[in-house]
Amino acid sequence: MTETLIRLEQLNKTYPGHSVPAVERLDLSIPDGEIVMFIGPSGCGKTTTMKMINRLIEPSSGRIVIAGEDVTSIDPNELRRRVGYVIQQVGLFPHVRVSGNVGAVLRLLKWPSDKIARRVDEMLDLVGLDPSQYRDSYPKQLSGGQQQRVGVARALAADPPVMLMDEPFGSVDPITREHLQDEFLRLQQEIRKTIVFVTHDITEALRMGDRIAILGERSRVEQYDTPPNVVARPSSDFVANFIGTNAGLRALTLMPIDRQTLVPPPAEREGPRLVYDEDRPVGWHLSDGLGTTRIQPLRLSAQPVLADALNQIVSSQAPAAVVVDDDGQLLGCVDMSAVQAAVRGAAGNGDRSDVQMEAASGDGSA
Amino acid sequence: MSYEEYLGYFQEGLLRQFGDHLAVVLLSTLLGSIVGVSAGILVRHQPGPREIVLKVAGTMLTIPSLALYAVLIGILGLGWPPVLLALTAYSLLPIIQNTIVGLNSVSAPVLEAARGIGMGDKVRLVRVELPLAWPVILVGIRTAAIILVSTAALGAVVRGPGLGNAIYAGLNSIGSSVALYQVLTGVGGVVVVGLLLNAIFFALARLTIPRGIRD
Repeated sequence: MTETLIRLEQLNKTYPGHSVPAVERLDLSIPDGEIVMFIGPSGCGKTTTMKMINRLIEPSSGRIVIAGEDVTSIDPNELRRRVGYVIQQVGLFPHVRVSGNVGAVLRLLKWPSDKIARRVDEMLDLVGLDPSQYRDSYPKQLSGGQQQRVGVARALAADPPVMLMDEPFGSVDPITREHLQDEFLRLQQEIRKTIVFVTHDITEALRMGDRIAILGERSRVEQYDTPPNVVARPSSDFVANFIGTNAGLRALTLMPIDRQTLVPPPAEREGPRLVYDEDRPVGWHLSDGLGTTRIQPLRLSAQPVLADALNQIVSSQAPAAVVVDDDGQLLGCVDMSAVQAAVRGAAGNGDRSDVQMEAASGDGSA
Repeated sequence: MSYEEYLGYFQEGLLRQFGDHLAVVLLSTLLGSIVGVSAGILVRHQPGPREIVLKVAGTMLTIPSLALYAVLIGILGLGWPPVLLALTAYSLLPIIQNTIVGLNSVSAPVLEAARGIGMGDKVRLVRVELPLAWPVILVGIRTAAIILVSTAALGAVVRGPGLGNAIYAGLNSIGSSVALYQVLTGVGGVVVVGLLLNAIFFALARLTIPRGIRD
């Protein structure tokens, strides 16, 4: 178990004029170097909880401990300079060039200007923006995706151990979002920050999180676990309901295909058989006069998941998905029984399908 | 006396009046900006004081300038001081109003980001809020200056500076050969001061509004 970097202890928040607390007696430990996703229905207090970590919202009571230091009552501005902050609307300073935006925290920390300039270029490189092209641009000259990259660069500039991200990719189009998510995951491999990431998108939570905290009313932690465990073993109807009724399909997107999953292609004499072009599988010859269907085999090195295999099976009408090596040579196949076995394995026990049925019927009557 | 002869004869005095007119407007706009922007900053988040300040500044604009000048003679005497003070008072409403509107329309995410990266209140005001509100504040200041150009002309009744003197001299000598010249030159001069101010503010906007928020 990795070390805890952020610890929230008995955190409470009651807004003035409200009798019901927004966050009630929250205890949560966030491990060093992990991405923890906060997700829950709107109004559950997930954003309030996140904003208490850098005290944009002051807790009514309780303690916030970061790297062993109680930060509950230190100067909030000092605290915030040590905690990267990225928000959905980005909030770049429109009157300042990209360089000034990225260097904003460094200026507050009174770095010398030549050091700031070097650091700004480094940060722009890190988030994939060419410094010579973008450092002198103004925010309005950038696309939404580029603006959010600058936002991430600004948050990372002072090399804070902790980053708070409030639906950072929520306002860009789905394609850009997926791209930014991938890019950010790659970046995280490099920087290994401890990240609290608020989202309302379960797909994003499953995809980005090392851990997911599913929060119910008043920020009560309904389940706090890894994405596969959350999908496979929801701790309550609430969680199962929240993940949705297509949890089985979602689970497939989280399960990598490895060599153990692979089976040989079906025997050639009966039914469909693989068609090769110079030793490389390119399609299936289907039985009973359905003709030939072309396929794009999955490359094992591209880290395909079971959902990719299922997709290929469904779209090619073939009995199995084909997996090849980098040279295009056949490694093996993934058939329906492998997919089903994986889902069954993840589900763990038979109770779960009942839970899902309840969740589904609950949905229907709502 | 022809108009050319009149201009030749009174050239020096007219040029001085023109310069004085521009100077008194600019100076009182500057004073009004210092007072008005400060007041706007102080009351922007408090609805109560904000209403009071705006009411007071609005009421001042309703006092006829002749009456205000007359009252101020008793306190400040004749010449520049009563004119400067009256014009400063008249400049306040547009400046305060635009300061409040400008500051309060800075986008919430930008402010949240500023707080989130650890900017204190003062730093945020100076580095983020004022620069972003500046285009709106500047429009308020320009409006004030333009209003003052014509009000300043009335300053001549308290022996104030500016082109009002030419106009008054003309009105006082109606029937004489130069009366019309004096009035027309005074009025024309006031118009030119107005145009010049517009040019000055245009240049000021180009110079002081950051490129990132210019449209």
